[in-house]
Amino acid sequence: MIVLWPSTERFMARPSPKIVVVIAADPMNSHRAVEALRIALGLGSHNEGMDLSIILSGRAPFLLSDDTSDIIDGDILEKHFPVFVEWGTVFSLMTDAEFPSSYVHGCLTQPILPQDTATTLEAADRVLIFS
Amino acid sequence: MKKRSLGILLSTGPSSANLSTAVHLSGAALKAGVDVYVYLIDEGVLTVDDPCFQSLRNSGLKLFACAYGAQQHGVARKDDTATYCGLVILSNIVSTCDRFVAFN
Repeated sequence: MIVLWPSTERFMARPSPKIVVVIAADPMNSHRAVEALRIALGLGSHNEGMDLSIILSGRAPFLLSDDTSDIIDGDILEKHFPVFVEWGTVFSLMTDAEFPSSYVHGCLTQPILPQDTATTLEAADRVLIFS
Repeated sequence: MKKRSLGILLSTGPSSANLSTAVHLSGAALKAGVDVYVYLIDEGVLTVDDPCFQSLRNSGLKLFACAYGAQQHGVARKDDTATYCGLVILSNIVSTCDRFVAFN
């Protein structure tokens, strides 16, 4: 099968899009939370996450917990998460979310208000929401 | 003039209404002369054999499926139904398409 791809010229002419990944899935009840983080990793890999923002809401901040024993696909999370630490990715945590008692070592976080989330989404070129 | 392009990510399975939406959006875009790239991931790989997607491929749809997802969900890789690949391809779709829509 021949796969036609958007031209290299198009790729070169366009700056890297600002990507926002919002994860609202509960990592203790759905594999989708870890899968969303894996997808975010893939989307940010071409420039070490420079144009990637990750917002965690609901119980998704538990993805950053230092205890992954209750997290579905926790082994996959443990395998991928060090890359975010290496990139210096700052995870935005919704202020009304639920938080773990302690975070994985080296993990960077910042609070984000619901109204600021709207602004962040509006400013993004690409938005992916996993709920 | 360059053709416009649309990227679509589908991460939900056959029982989700997202499938129908993605199929109809793809069909409409193809009819309008837009290049369409669909990437199936997570439970989305379970829709790879959907007759609607296979029909749209004959109209020019470029269909990709996450190789890791296919393995995780026990989907037999048949190279005549989609191109199985990694997240680098999704990253390229997100970066290069004029428009991108995610159905999760």
